[in-house]
Amino acid sequence: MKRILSLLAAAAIFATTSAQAADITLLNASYDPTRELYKDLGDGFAAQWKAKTGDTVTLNTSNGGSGAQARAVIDGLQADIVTLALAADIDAIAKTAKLLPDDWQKKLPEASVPYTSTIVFLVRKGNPWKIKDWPDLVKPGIQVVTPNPKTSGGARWAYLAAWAYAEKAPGGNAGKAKEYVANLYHHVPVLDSGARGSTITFTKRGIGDVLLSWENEAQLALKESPGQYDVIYPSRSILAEPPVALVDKNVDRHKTRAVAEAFLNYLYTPEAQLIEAKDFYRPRDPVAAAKYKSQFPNIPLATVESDFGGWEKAQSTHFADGGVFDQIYQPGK
Amino acid sequence: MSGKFQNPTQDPLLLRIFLSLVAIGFVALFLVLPLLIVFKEALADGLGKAFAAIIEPDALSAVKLSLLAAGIAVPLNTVFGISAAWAVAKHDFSGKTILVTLIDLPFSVSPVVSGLIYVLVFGLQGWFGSYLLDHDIHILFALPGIVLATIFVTFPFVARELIPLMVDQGRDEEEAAISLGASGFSTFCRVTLPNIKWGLLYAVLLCNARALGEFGAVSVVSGHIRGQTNTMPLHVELLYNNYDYVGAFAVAALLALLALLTLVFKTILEWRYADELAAMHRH
Amino acid sequence: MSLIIDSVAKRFARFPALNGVSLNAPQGAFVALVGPSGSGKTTLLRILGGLEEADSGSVRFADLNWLSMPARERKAGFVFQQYALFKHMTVADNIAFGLRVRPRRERPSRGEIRDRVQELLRLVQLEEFGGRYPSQLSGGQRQRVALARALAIEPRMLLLDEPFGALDAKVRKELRVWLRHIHDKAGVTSIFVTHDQEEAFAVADLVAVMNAGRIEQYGAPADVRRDPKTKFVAEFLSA
Repeated sequence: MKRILSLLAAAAIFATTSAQAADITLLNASYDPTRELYKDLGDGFAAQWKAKTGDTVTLNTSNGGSGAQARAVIDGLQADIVTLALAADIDAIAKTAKLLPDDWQKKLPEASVPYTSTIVFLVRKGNPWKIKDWPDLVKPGIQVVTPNPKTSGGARWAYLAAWAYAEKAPGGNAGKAKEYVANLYHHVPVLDSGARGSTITFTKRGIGDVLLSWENEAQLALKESPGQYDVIYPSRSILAEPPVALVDKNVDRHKTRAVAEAFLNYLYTPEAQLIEAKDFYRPRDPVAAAKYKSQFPNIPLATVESDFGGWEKAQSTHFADGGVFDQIYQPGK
Repeated sequence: MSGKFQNPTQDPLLLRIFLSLVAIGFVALFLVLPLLIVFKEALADGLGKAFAAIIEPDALSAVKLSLLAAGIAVPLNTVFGISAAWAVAKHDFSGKTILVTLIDLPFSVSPVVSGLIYVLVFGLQGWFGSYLLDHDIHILFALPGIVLATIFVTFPFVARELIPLMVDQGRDEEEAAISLGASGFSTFCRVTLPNIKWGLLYAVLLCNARALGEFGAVSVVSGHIRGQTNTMPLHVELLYNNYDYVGAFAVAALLALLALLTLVFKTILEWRYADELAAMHRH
Repeated sequence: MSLIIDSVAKRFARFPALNGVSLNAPQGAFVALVGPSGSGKTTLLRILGGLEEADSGSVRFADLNWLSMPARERKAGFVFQQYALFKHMTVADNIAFGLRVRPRRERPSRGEIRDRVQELLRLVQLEEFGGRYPSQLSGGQRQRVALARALAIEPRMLLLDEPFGALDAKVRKELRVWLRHIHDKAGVTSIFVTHDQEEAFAVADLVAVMNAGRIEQYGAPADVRRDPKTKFVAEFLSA
């Protein structure tokens, strides 16, 4: 009898304490290369949140191509937050599914971009073809690996980086830029559908002499396969700004707004910025930037806002059906 | 005329050897070799690494999800397949040809399209999306969606295997059973089912293998949530995309092992019941 | 307790298989339906067995409205031309089948079933064959098992659809004598379909000569032979 009573008491205590500490799950729909990043960020945030409120937060992540993930959220994937490669993809979610307001980008600091990246060159160890800058990519016989801008977010950043270089070069203009970019894509043997696909084509399948890659992907490749590759920073590149956003309709339905907002704000905190820098994403926070200075060479970076008139204009000019890319790239030619 | 006796209906020896070599070569090159490579790559960093990749939490949940999806889809399709085959073989009704054509539909549709059909029907922008969401029913990007996609692509296997078998067997035995006083259900259990059991076994195994290995349709409806909505094939893709080649091949090897296991099981059953099998084919 | 068939008709799509067929037979009679293929004899038999449905007409037997009963309640033992033995069951299990599928209330005990099976095996002279499978038997043996299986349910009516059609001439002759003998012992009303008029006339009490879905003549074999009523019957008998 005494045992039963004490067991009941223990159960009661357990029940009441568990009733107080909640278990919250957040779903993050993210683009491809962010597995390590959001695992680290999720752990960091969970520790902080538990210390503050006693609740346990689990961050689940879904990874895929940026456009495909946007499509999934539009079709009902119950993401609380989205962390994608381009603002254009999140715009699509706002316009088509109306799951977040059209002015979502204003809701968080730095136009909802907590960390940035850029496009660099990944070459074979020792840089046998002596590739230093953009003009070297169109030397005869050089094979460039980059994904398809129609399907890959990362590929669009690479395209714009190339265009910006050619336009800003001495004597350059829009016409010369178009020529250069057309030439560049003639040097591409395989157009993979996504950034990861291109990286695998270059590293595992051994195709191509140079890969146009996200900076963090290139650094990751160096880490995973030491002694096989070198990273070359061109004279100028583009500021790639992968944005993050709260999916309002979903968090209200799941009643996770407070936690989700807290997590997004967390991404801007010094602790999180250090994690992001460690995972090779350029932090906004000056302290973290200073600490990891050696990892992020300072090169002039064009931006979509100032040099291309914003994503909507860039998308319709270059990447929409019949846009510049369709004009310059006809497979088989 | 040579003095040696030659079996007039048998092909010449050289031809037989040649054809056998072609068949064996084909099987070796296109089936055995890729399988061997999968296992070789899985063990490239040693058995420990391969094993670690499989018992890692996300991988384990992928295994569980695959087994669960197959565990639901295969029995459902088996029941459906038996019913459809029984209706077609033992009865006459108008619309029989339409039924058979519909059964074949999933074969002619690309798996990705199959997945998209479910998105169009259950997705937020689709027919029932808003209704489902308002009632907190989750079909897409959750287990039900994955099971539905798996059911669709493995739909025809059991029916297609059983229909010709049962049509071939005819209705005589069933009519005899009825005339002897058996109910419809009793006839089915005691007469029809035992006659189709080998065909049924084969069909279920095929259905199971396909269910475990389905990629395209499930990929569209899965949502790719790590540790939750990734089946084994999706998890292989995920590992490969994360440059974890050993891990990818390890999980792929596990998939291959499961398939081989079912084949071994089938072979053992056929060996144990060889006499019965032979008797059935003779009559 | 006689069998009264009244104006039974059946069409398959546009083809009139039976054009209003009537006949009466006393209880325990051995009736042969004889005629060329397409004459409707098998259709009539299958209607009696409940394996086909008549379009119109009625049948009374054992004081029951026969056609309104589902096949499995009629207790009409059916013997098929191709035996239709359950190939995955032993001979003994085949014979026991009809007893085993009875609803619990009516089902005999295991021991009773076993005894009945042995009795029937003795009757059809296949005592040692209980454990064999149908694939291990000759055609004639299989048909005897089929008959035993049909008799096991103590049928009100025995229906035989060209039961010796798949066998050679010698075996046919032996088996039809033996069948008549079994019929006499069991005393069950039997309807026997054949295209072989010699066989029909040798073994039956009453013969119905059928043609194109109609009964041309019906009566005792001797009467029909002596006095064919239509041209068709006359020609059929002389063939």
